[in-house]
Amino acid sequence: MARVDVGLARRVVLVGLAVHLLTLPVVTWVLLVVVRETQTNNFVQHVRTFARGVADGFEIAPVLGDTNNTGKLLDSVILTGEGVYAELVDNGHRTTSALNPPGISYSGRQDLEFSEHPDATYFIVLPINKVGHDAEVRLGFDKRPTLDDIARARRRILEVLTSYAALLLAIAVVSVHYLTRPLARLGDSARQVASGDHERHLSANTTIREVHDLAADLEAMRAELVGVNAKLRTEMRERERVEAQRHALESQLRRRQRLEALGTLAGGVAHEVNNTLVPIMLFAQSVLDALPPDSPSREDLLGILRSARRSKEVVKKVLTFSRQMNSGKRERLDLTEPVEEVVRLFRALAPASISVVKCIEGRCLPVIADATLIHLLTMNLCTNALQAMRATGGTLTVGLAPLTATGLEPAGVAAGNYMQLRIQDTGHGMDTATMDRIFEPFFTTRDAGEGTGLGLAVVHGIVESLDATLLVDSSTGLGTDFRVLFPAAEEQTA
Amino acid sequence: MTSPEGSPEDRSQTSSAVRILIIDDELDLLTALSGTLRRAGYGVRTAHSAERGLALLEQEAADVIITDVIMPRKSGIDVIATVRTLYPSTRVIAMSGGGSFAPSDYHPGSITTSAYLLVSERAGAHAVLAKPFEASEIIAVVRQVLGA
Repeated sequence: MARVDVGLARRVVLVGLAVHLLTLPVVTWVLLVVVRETQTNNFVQHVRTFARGVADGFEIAPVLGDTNNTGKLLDSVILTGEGVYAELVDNGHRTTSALNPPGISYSGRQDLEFSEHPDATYFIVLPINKVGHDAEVRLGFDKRPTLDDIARARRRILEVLTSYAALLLAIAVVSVHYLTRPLARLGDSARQVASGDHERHLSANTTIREVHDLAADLEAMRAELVGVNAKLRTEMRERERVEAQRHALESQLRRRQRLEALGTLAGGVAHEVNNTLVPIMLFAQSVLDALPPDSPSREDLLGILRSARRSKEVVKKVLTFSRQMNSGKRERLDLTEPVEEVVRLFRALAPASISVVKCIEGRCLPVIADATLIHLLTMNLCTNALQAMRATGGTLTVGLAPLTATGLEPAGVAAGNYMQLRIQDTGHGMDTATMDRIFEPFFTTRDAGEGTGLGLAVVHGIVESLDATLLVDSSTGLGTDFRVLFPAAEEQTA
Repeated sequence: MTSPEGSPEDRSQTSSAVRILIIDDELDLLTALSGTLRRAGYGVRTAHSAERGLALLEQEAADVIITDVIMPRKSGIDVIATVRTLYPSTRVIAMSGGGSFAPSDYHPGSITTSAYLLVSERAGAHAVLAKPFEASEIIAVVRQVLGA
């Protein structure tokens, strides 16, 4: 994979510079050669034509042999400004112009080519064809103006080419900027999309067709991906919800199975204990009846009877957990009255450090229940709440409100209308392990002798027998929130 | 402890004409209950199974039958139904401590004392009594069914 470390702008400028670094010297050299050749050819052509005219003058005019006229003709070469040196050699006799500058003399050879010696004079020697004369005219021309012209032309060329290069560079930079700006914009948008802003539109805002088309294609791809992404998120949320619901139901099922197993066990044990208690109580009573009133053993027998009665009460509670309440009286019931009664009772019972708040909202929907069971259930939950706040104080809130479940709740509450009884405390709360076991009979976090561990087991039994749902939420140190959802009784037709 | 069933002590010889038959598979309970009722002046016989109880009934009628509900093989419900059919003048008291013999017998709502007693009432029992009970309670119930 090619290394990506040079931007498009820099790359284009570098390529342009490289191309011009190669071509500009060649172009410059060619132009300079052309200019020099043109200038020197013009010079040579001009001076040769002029020299031919001078030679023709000597051939036509009768000046050869006439020193005075020969001198005048030679002087005219210099006076016209065309030449800087003129001499005539006629039959070995050399005549020079009186206007020849002192520093210039014929070197003995004529120039066949134009050389660029600044101080040199270009000499032309032309023979004069005239009968009786062996003559030649030697003319010198100043090369400096031509050399100046060449130098000026060179400067111009360099200036023009330098300007061209600078202009080209500027155009390249501007063009590259014009080309890359929409790409940079597109890149920025793409990065923002990649970083999570999926609603950001990919647009280059350019008139460059290729870039515009690329942006349109990318935008179409983004829209497609956003759609797919949204669908995936929805599916993921749905899956998470289903998973949470499944988890809650599994947890509920496990707890239910455990409690049912315990219920079975408790029922079996209760049966055995109840049967055993009968002879204990009857035998004790029998012996008690047979003893004289002052017998010291009477107190012992009364102790047996007390213990047996206490066992009877414990078994009764265990059986409550085992759905003893199933045979209770069921009727359409407004929960407000039994709940308010419990609130009144707990306002009287609660210590000063605990405030009891009643919160009854909305229209109270009737439920199918037994007022005694509702009373017992609310009492047990409130007792549990008071115990949780005994050390720290706090607020016990007893709430009653209608609730409509959509069937999407994690705990698997079926869709429908419910009356929600809510008992909240601000006590020590529970951890997950404790919360998992609170409905088991004889499970208690209280000190020995302070609780039977049957209160919440009885609550569970009642909730199950009434086909209600019990939800618990608790955080260590923050308190506990019990919610009992009673299915609303169907509306009765008159 | 000797079995209360079939022993001479089974039959109380009291001046009372009231004859009570107790049926329960718990032998200690039979002994204790029969003793309690005898001391209260009733003539008592006992049986530790439903089959045995019905056989005793064939031999000699009873004024009151006190039967347990949950018993192996034949339940107290069967006893109540039979007695109510064959001996309509006999008063029947059902007693139960609820519970279940094994987890496989578990049916939600059916293992409890009150549920069994409810079924007993529907089967025709004149009174029901939840175990455990005290001497005074059972005597009161016996008097109640006898209309005393």
